[in-house]
Parts: sequence; C-alpha cells; structure tokens
Amino acid sequence: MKDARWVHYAKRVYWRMRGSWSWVLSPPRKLRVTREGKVFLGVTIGVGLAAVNTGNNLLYLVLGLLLSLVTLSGVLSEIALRGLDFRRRLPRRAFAGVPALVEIEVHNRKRYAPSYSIEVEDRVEGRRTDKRCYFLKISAGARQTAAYRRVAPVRGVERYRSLRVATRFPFGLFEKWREVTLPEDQLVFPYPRPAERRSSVARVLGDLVTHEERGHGEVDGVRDLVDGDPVRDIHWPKTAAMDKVVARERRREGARLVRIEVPNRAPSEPAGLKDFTVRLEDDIRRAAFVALDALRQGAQVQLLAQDAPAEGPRGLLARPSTHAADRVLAFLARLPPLPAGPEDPDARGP
Amino acid sequence: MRFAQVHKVASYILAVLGLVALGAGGELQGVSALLLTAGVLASWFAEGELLQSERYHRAWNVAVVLAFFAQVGRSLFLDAPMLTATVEFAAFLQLLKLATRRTARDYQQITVLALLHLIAATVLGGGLSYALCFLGFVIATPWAMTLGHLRREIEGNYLADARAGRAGVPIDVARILRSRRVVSAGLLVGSSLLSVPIFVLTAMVFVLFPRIGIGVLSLRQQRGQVVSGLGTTVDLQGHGVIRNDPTIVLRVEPLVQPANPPLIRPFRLRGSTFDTYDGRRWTRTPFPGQDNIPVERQSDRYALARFPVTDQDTALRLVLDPLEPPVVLLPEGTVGLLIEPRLERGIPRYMSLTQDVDDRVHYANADDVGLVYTAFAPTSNALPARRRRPSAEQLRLYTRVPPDLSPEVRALAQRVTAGARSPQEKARAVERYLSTYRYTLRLESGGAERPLEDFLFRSHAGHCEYFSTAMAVLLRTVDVPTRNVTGFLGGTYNRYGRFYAIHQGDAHSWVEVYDPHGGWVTFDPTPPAGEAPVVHTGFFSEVDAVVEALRLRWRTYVVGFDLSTQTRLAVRLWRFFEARRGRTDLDHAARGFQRARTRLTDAPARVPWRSLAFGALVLGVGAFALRRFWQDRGERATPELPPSAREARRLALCLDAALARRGHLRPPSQSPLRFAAEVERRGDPAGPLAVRVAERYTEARFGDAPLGPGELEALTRELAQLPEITKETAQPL
Repeated sequence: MKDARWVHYAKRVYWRMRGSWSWVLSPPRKLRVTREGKVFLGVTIGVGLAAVNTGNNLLYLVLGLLLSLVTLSGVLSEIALRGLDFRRRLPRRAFAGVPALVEIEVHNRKRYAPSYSIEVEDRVEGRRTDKRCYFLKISAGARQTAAYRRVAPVRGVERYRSLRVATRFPFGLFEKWREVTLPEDQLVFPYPRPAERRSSVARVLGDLVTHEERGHGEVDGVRDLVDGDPVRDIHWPKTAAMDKVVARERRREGARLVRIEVPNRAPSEPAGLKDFTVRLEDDIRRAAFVALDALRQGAQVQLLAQDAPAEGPRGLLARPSTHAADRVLAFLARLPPLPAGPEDPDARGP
Repeated sequence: MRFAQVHKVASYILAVLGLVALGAGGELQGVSALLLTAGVLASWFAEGELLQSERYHRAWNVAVVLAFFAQVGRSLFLDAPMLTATVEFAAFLQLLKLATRRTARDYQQITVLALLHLIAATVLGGGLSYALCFLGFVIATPWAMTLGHLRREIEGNYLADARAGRAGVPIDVARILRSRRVVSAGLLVGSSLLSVPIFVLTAMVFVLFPRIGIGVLSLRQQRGQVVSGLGTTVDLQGHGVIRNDPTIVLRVEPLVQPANPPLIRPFRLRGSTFDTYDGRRWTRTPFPGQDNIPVERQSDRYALARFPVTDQDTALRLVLDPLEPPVVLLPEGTVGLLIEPRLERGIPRYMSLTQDVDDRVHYANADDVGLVYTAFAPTSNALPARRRRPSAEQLRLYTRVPPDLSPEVRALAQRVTAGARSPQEKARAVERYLSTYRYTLRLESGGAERPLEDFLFRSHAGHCEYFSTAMAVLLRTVDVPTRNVTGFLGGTYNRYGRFYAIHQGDAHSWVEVYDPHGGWVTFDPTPPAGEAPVVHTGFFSEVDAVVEALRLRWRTYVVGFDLSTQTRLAVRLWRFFEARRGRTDLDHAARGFQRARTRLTDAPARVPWRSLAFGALVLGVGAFALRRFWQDRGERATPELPPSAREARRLALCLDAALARRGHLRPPSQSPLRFAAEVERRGDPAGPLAVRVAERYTEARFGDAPLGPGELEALTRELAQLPEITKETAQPL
C-alpha cells in the first residue's frame, strides 16, 4: 500500500536525519554563552516578549536585528575557526615544577579571510592547562607563533592530547570551540635537587670524583655543554665550527664508577605509605643531582632501582658523553614506584 | 586607521544614532537637545590624561546623581512630563559614558545603551527618522560590536600576560590600540558588508514572525496631530496661517489610477460640522441619544448609508495619520467603509466607529498608527448617498443667528436672495454674491469686534472660514437651514508613492444647505483661488515628495504590518511560486488561506486561554528540556580526571561509606576533611583514622601528592575494619 504523501516525506526526513543524530549530539563545534552573550540574549528575549505582547512592529524590527546579529555571530565565528592548522613545539627538556615554554604555531590556510581572536589551549592528560595562547589576528595565508609557560607538576610522561581552539569573535556573545587532535608526549625530568655527597636517600657507592682543577686532565674530545659545566670548559673554536655550544671532555684518570640506588618499593606497613611517595620523589631528585654532578666530573654513573619495574630496565650505566645526562634523567623520569611486597628475585640488571 | 580611533568613531556613530532615535519621538527638544549636542561634541575631545583622571570620573559620578535628582524634582514639583524627564536622563547616561570612556567595558556599555535607546524609541515614535536611525544601526552595530570585542580581548589577554608573567615580553595594550595593522580596510569593508545579511535577516524575521499581539501590558501612546477645524469650536479670529503648513494629514490612493494621474486632484473630505454661530466662533451642540451611534458593521465593512458593494462602488483608499480628535475624513458621497481589523491580544480588533446626528464619523481606540480605510461611493450614474434629515429641534438650531447680528446682514441677505424661491436657489445666489470677494490668508477682519460684519462690509477679503460663515449666516437670516462644515479640500499627486497627499494647509470650510426636497446640499462659497491646493515645486519639494513616499511605505509596510498583511503576503508568495512551477490551479490554496484568515479575523473577541495555556505548557516543557540538556552537557564537558585524582576520589567514597556505617552521613556542603574533624570532635573512636584518611585524600586530590602504590588498598582495608555502629549508639552530628 502506498504511503500518504506526508508519511512519505516524514520517512525521508527521518532517514536523512538518522545519520545526523550523532553529529547533533556530538557536534564538531561546541558553544558557550559568555556573560555578555547572556545579557544580549536576555535583551533579545525581552524585546521578543515585548514585541509579541504589544504587537509593536518597531520592536519586531529590533528583534530581527538582534537575532540576525546572533546568527551572523555563528557564521563569522565558524569562518574564524575554519582553515587553521596547528603545530605544537614542546621544549627539548622539561623539568617537573620548572616552567618550560610550549610553542603553538597557527597557520591560516584561508586565501582571503583573516582569523581574528583565536585562543588556543592545550589539553594535557585530558585536562585543560591553565595557560593559553591568544592570537589577535592571523592574516590570510600567514603563520603565527605564540608560547605559553607550562609547569609540569610531576616527572614522567606528560601526554599532550589535543588543542582546544576557541574564538569569541566577532561580538563576544558566544565562545565557540573545537578540539584539534594533536597527540604528543613530553618526558618530564625530575628537577635535580642538591644532595649531600653521602646522601642517605641516594646511596652512592664507590668514590665520587672530586672536581678537577683547571687545566688538569687530557682533553679527550668535545661534547655538548650540560648544565653545570663551567664556562671555562667551553671549546670556543669547535663551538664556532659546529654552531652549537660544546665543552671540552677530559679524560680523567681517577674516574670512578658512581653507583646510585633508588629505593622505589613502598613499605609494607600502612603507616609508612603516606610519606613514601613524597620521599621517593625527593630521592629521585637527589639522585638526579648526584648523577649529573658525577657525570660532569667525568665519572661513570650506574643507576639502580631497588626493584625492577614491570616494564623497562631496572638500572642504567651512563658514561660521560653528550647524551648521558639526558639518559640518566629519562631513566629517573620513568622510574615508577612499586607496591609493597616481596622483592623480585628476578630483578634485571642494567 | 588606528584601532582606537576606528573604535571611537564606530561607538560615537552608534551612540549618536541611539540618541537621535530617542529624540525623534519629540521628547528631546529645545534646551535639553542643545545641551546634549554640545555635551556629545565636547566629549569627543576628552582624551588622554583627562580620561585617566580619577577626579574627572568622580565629578561625572556626582553629576549623574545630581541629574537623577534634578529630573525627579522636575517631574514632581515643576510638572515636567515624567516621560520627558526619563528620556532626558537616559540620554544623559549616554553622555556620561561617552565622556568617561576608558576601557573596553565602557565602550561596551556605550553600545548597550545605544541599543536600549533604539528599543526605547520604538514606543516613542519618530516615523521616518526612526527608520533612518535603524538603518544606521544595521550598518554601525557590527562595527562597534566587533571592535568592542577585539578591544576587550586585547585588554584582557595582553594585560593578563603582563600580570601573570607569561611567555614573551609583556605587551603594551596602548601600543596595540595605536596599531594600524589590527583594523585593516578589509575588516572595515567586511563588517560594513555584514549590514547586507543583517538587513536581509532582519527583514525575514520581521516578515515571518507571527503577529500575535498578546497585549498583556501595552505602553503605546495615543497621540495624534491636532487638526484645526475638527475640534469642538472654530474661531474666526484664528487660523489662516495653516494654509502653508505642509504637514501631511492624509493620503488618498484611488484604487483605479489613470496612466498619467493629474498633478492636482481636489478631494473634498468631510470632517466636522457646526450648528451655532455666536458672532465670533462656531460651536457644535451635542445631541445626547442621537450622537455617538455605533456604525453598523458586517465583518470588516461598515454601513454609513448602506454597506459598500465592492464591485460596483468607486473606492478610495485613505491612509489617515493619527488625528486629534479622531475623526474619519470622508470623501464626498461616501456610503460605506472597509476597515481591516488588527490582531491584538491574539484576537481581531475591529475599529469601533460611531456616527453623530450630523453624519460626522469618529473612530475609537485611536493609537499612534492612525487609520487605514477604504471609502466607497456610488458611481456617478447612481444616486448619491443622502444625509440624514434633521429633526425640528435641529432645524431650529440650523436657522439660529447671533442675537446681536447687525441688521445690515439681514438686509444684505434679503437683497442678495431677492427673487430666489427654493433654498438651493437662495444658496446659489449667495454663493454667486460672495464670489466677488477676495480670498486672503491675512486675517484682515480677525481683529474686528464683529468679524463677520467686517468681512461683509469693510474688508471684503478673508479665508474659507469667513466665506462659509458668511454664507451660512446670510442664508439663515432668510430661514434657510445651514451648517458650517470643516474638512479638507486638496490633493497633490506624489509620483514616487503614487498617492495624493492632503496637507494641513488643505484644511477647508464650506456650507451644507438643507433643502426639504433634496436634503443636504453642499455649497462652497470660497473663490476658486483659495480652494486650489498649494503646489510647491523645485528640488526641495521633490525631496519632500520622496521622503513622504518613504514615510508612507514605512507606515504601511513596517508600522502597519500585521497578521492580515502576513496572510496576504503568504497568499501572494504562494501564487508566485506556484506560478513559477507552472501550476494554474491556485484558487484552492488561495481559498484555504482566505478561509484561515477569515476564521482568524472573524473569531469571537475573547481571550484564547486554551492557546495561551498550551503555549505556556510548550514553553515550560521546552525550558525543562533545555535545562536538562545543559546539565547533561555540563557533566559531559567535565574533563576526565587523571588516574591519581580518580584514586583519591575512590578513597573519599570509601571514607564516606565507612563513616555512614557508623551513622555519620556527610552533607554535600561539607568537605571530607572538615567532616572527619567534626566526627573526631564528637568523640567517635574512628575520628583519628577518618582525619588521617581525609588528609591523605586532600593531599592526593589537590596537593600533587598522589597515592602511592597499594596505599589506596591499605587505607581502604583500614576503613573496612571499622566496626559498624547501630542507630541507637550513633551520635548524630
């Protein structure tokens, strides 16, 4: 039996809309009414009610003006958000608790229309960062870069997931935003904390090499300048030739192996749990300081976790080299706390 | 241009447009308008250090308080109209903001105030001035709002950067505001072009939005222009000068126009009549019980002599401005009227017409829209409409002359009408005699103690009132009943609006003579030179004609737009699109529209409670659904917690459960830590453990000290070991 005409149209509309529900329920753009927008909408609703109440056509005219401004606001904000490419530049090194610059570059791919008033905010671990980058105007075809200071609260891998790109252009009545997926991981190093030479928290085995006197030791080569290197160690001719700051690396006859153990297993008694996390972080920071100090003095560093984590090595042997400091810091950054329990007899060595 | 300059210009344009719209209703006049103009001009030059001066701002704050009390005082003690005082104060607020603009917030307030002025002006009137202001708003609002938003963002973001020590060099806001790179020509042109879609969208909303007109609270004013000669008296010693008044009172649109309409077409429009002349002025005697008789109505048709026959009678469409008094000006020979109802409060409102004993017609429920009606008169070969015959009492009035009338007047009447037998013959004789007199706008007899005698025997010159008075009185002295009639005689063609305009200057006076055999007959003794409409030529008159045509369109298509017009428009659109699709069977749809319209307009006049209740229900359900939607959306929008925070939350839930087992229910308004302290204070043995767990939760959740591995389980175990306490032993908090 053939459907009535209105049934036929209703079915067509239904089938067309069916695929669109997901879009309706989870639109690519999200909208928030700003404080000014609430006032504006309030005035609009008031004018609408007054117009309906009084039948005053001039009020209908004003209502039309206000509604058209709302509509245009949606169109223009959409134009502002479209055609933008984003790139995030993470800092080469980031330390927990220390501000680091994160750069956001925006490229306006549109041929004619500039984008005004764009606000970009990073989402780390699914949470919005409290800092954001603001771009007042990105001309058509232009690129602009802005940076914000990010303070990673803890060491470890910080997962940048997406950017929240928002605009309140053109009238500031609504904030429209979209999510731009831009996954990137940043390994956050523990910030080295000065420790006594024979620290109880980072048990240093072997002898620490004392600071060399100036001019002592045979020059073995050059390496990247690391934090703490004295300026006098900079090899200026090589620095000029290699276009990066390098320092002399000296062979030390008295170089020793510095072994650092970090206790990363939680105590079995509940009373000790409270302080464990804080103490572990403190140990790791001190270990980082000792290790870097040792490397700077030309010693080899052996880092050992008290217990092997489920993934990754238990320890690390670092010889003084260009990337030794980064390796040490990366190991310490990834070192997880382990739950209380018997020591693992199959703990892997470095 | 520099950003700050462009923003300032745009804001000033918007503010001035708002003030003009506000003042177009006539509430800002004279000294207040002058002061306001001077203030706005002076505020333009307030810049730099002056704007930053706290003393300057304090002075303005004091001024606004003083202005408020001054306006209140004027209304209460000096009898200044409350509306005028309010409008002046609203304008002063804008002046205050213009003079103290400092930050983006101030500029935003200027924009908001301008919009509020525009809204307020809708009830104050203003006609075409309002239309022009509105057009200006369509263009300038995107400028002002866009730049205002950008300024706010500049101030907010760059100041915040400087304060919070964010990345980069702290940027000077003033430097960006001075920048020429932010506001390019493209932005200005683009935002100017926005006015096109805004205009289109505004027009769409305006046309499509249903005109319901609930009318719970209406603030519309009822004001009309006072028209001389239509009131209760006509003074011979006044008037004369209105002959040059170009204010339009009425527009006449013949439904059938020739290809080349004549430039002048004299329409005689009858307004009021007067029966008693006391030697200086005419007055009208009320006839209780015979005046104010409701005019018979069928749907939108009114029967003055009979109901109009639309396909036989000659029709003239008249657009009458609001008048005071609200008299319906009727073309000669009008037998019936057609007036479309307006929908107000959801119900059709038919115009109430009343007719007096002398055939004068009033309309009730006057408002600022005036009256649009179609007058029907029989075609030339049909019998003209007859005016109602006077009673004996009225006949006595119509033959009464002033007691102190000079005997020369009687003698003159005898002499002029000698040989004439019937009243009409006598009237023609008098008319012929007066045609030898001269028409003048100068009140040559106005200062005389007896103006009529002075006119007849000394000056021999006067305006229409003198001629009609002379004729009426002369005829009365020879026992011919007459009455003095006032109205309009004129009609200048406006080729831009395709209508004939009747101005204030076309006000006229003539005489109706009663003939027992022929009824009331119209005679006009004023010489033709005085009757001829004043025709203005030249550039300015052309501009006037264009403006007047625009005014009529504004009034017809904007101010007078209602549900009836909407349905008519819908029918036209329907026909247009169907015709484009090649469908010829349009009558069915058109009849459907017509039926709906008739049903709507002919509905009984009662408040549609059911519809209102249904509407309220729909609104309520919609509001509830919207609220739920926003709530859900808010929950969805909550960012996902990191694992450490989730663990902390689980610990808090365990703590709540453990304490609940011991009879302590944590109210949502209390934090776990505070609640645990309260439990401890009450002396519960579980208190110390609760405090320890709550402290650990707080550190893990908010203090960047996440729970260690196994810590959650250990604490949970401890909590689980707490013994349960029965209700009897629990201490309520």
